[in-house]
Amino acid sequence: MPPLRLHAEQLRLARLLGIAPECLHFLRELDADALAALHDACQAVLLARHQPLFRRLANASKLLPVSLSAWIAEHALGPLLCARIAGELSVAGTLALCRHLPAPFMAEVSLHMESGALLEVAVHLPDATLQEIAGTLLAQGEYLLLGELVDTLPIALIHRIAVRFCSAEEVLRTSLFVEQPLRLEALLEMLPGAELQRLARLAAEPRQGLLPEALSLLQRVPPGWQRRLVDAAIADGDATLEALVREVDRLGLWASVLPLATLLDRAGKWKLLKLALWREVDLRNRALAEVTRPGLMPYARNLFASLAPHERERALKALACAGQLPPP
Amino acid sequence: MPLPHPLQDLPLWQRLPADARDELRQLLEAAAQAQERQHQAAIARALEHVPALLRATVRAMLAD
Repeated sequence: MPPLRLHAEQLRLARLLGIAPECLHFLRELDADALAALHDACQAVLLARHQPLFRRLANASKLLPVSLSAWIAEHALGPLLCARIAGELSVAGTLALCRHLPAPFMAEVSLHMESGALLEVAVHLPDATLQEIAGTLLAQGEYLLLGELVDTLPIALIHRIAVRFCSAEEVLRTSLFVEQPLRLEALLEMLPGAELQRLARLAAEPRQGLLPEALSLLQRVPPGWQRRLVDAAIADGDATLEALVREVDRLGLWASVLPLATLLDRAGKWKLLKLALWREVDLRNRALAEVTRPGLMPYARNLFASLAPHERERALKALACAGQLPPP
Repeated sequence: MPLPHPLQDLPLWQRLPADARDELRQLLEAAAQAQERQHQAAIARALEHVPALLRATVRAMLAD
């Protein structure tokens, strides 16, 4: 599982409980889905505990002019309490307050709102406000919430918000939390061509640690986008491809990469094989140990079948030298 | 604190070790109390800005 999602869910639960993520060490065996379920259950508990107060605050706010209520909300109540009160107001009431609140504050409030309540309000906000909120969330690295918004807002709105996603890194980090392929497409379509190529470079950098996320993205987008992303990686040059191979080797992800290698054209497959088989002996042996497992043989066969005869002969000799049987 | 219902409904809750359930209960209770204090402090700040004429009314509405 991409570590970024697990880490994001740990942060989210820790934020809800007002503790440092390290304090959740006793839940370290849980995966991201389990942590998300725990978060939602804990949030329900905390909401239920103080709901009468939130309801009274919501009713009291109606006694005041909207502009004064909004000012008090921003300067006295803070984003957490505002989020709770918003849950007790009608959508119209919340929107009336939003007209008097700055977008960065609304971004803070959105972090504490229940998903359903947030969506009900977000769909009615002006595009410029939504874009500014998205920009604030991006600047703060709140990719989990952004991913959920990309997944749930109407697709027409996504296209309008996606203009804020300017960099490959922002798309890559947000995409991990987007489940629907069409929504991923909307994000990718906004990226300039140069940033598409930069996706591969980012994935190849060990200090970024984004290769699992990049592979997860590749596995979930429609086939047309898979080809475009793979072609962009090849077009970025041999240095990027070599760095990708090294990162795949470092993380032991050959089993994830091999099915995707079928997307490469013949020249791309030959480049990949050359890097895997002839660069370093240890890298070759580790790669072969993974890709010659029974479940991956169809992909290995596809790789070899696409080669020109002289390329296939060289590759088979390399396998023989490594003591590995060639794919039948 | 009695066992919170939303947690009890989770199949995952039953699979957690007893000490993990205890620790999460304690963290949840601490979070609830901390939020209670934050909410009351925020309300006190908010009331300072409510016009005097309305302050008593708002206080009465917020009282238990």
